[in-house]
Amino acid sequence: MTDSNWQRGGNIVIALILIFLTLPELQNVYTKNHYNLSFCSDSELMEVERFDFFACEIGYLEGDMSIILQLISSESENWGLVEGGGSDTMIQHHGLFVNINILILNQQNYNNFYYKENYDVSNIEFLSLNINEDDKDLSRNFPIIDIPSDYYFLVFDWEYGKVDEVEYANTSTLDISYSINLKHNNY
Amino acid sequence: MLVLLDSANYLLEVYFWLILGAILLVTLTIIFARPDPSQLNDNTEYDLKEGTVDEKTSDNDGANTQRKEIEDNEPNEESIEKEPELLIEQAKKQWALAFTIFGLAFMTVGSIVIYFFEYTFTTFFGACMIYVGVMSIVKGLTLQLSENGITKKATPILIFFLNFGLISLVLYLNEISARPWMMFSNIDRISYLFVIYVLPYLIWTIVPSFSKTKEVKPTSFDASSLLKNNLKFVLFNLIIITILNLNLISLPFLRQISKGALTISIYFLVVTVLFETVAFMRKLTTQSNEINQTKDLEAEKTINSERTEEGLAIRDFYEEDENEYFNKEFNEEKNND
Repeated sequence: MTDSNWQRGGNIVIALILIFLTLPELQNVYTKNHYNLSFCSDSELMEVERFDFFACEIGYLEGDMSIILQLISSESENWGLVEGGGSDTMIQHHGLFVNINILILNQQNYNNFYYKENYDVSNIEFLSLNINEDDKDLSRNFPIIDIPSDYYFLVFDWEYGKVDEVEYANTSTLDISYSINLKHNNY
Repeated sequence: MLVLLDSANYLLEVYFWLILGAILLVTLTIIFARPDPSQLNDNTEYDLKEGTVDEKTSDNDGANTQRKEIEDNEPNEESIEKEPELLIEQAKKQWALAFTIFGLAFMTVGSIVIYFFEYTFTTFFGACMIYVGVMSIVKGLTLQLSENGITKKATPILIFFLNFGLISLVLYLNEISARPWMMFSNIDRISYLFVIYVLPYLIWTIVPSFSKTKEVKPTSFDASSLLKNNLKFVLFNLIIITILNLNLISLPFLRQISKGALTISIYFLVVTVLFETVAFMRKLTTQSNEINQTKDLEAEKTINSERTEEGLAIRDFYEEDENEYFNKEFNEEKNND
């Protein structure tokens, strides 16, 4: 092998490492940390696994905003909101009640959440992300909300990091279509 | 006066700093553009020494004179090599000066337009003129940098940040775009990426640059160079995001746009890696085939030489029956085939 061959081979190896570390679709340890977590879409079908979470980056929020969050289940017969309290949303899934926290966290709190440390929400209204049932579509509307300037993340937490605490009876995945609509009231 | 200035318009202060910066840049350009002081020692005082001249007849006066004339007429090799370099240097100086004057003129006119007219269009027009002016002055300055210096290599990074700074501060893009990335439409995203990443590159490449090397390599678009450039781009964006994630500096627009660029470049990296891997495998296969062919040729040569030696050996052993020996060899080769 000549020097140029070694260089080309080296470039390929470095590129593969970078792809593994940063490709959002891989959802590995590195991308789940906010390094290259993909930006949220207006509407997207996502899959959340039990004892894990799904997160996407909303982006930089500042000032008065209005947020509309809507969830649509792909399995309408086995889906339904049972009750809500605090930030916990009890969702019925295949006859079982699943406990999914829907959170909007700023960068610091998202870091804390990721490393399983104590986290908080930046605005008290974010605690009321309990979603009201409306013909199988679950939606929540925040007309005007004052948000401290920061980068924000939308998180669907299904008992993340509770493997030791919860009986490992039924590990499953849940497909949820979310739709998030943001509006800057300043512009 | 200061009170009046304060109350009148903050723009005056901006003009002051812009003109001060421009003067500084012009000064630096002139410093870099002026010739090397070592070349300016033409007025050196020479020590005069007295000498004596004796008359002497030449052996072949006419021939010597002719030879001298021929030597004088022949162009000096060193001067031939130096001439293009000097021409390039002169052209560089002229372009640097032109860029500086052009840039200053643009900045001044842009500032006047912003100051005297209050329409949205004129403000934008003036801001664009200031942007072009500053870029032009910096281009003139970089023309004077040495080609292999660190400053020259770091120029693309400096230009990126200069472009970003100018767009944010002069064209106020930062204020417009202090919104979450997911709120932008795809067209907005593409246009922001174009303005931040592609525009400075285009401005830089459209304007002429000079190289001392005689053969300018054309920009290659083979898989290897694409992968190399893409790797640099990915690493650059990763570094920016890492630094901004530390929250020491708050540049939300830059962080968001870097993240957008990183995502696109990562997908592009996947494609370029595939291309490069295929090209690399092909090259390795060709190289191994060539090596095998060379080995085969060498082996054939060795066999041929051995056979020649065997033929000689037959002649040496004259007692052996030639017909019987060649029949045996023929049969052996037939069996091998």
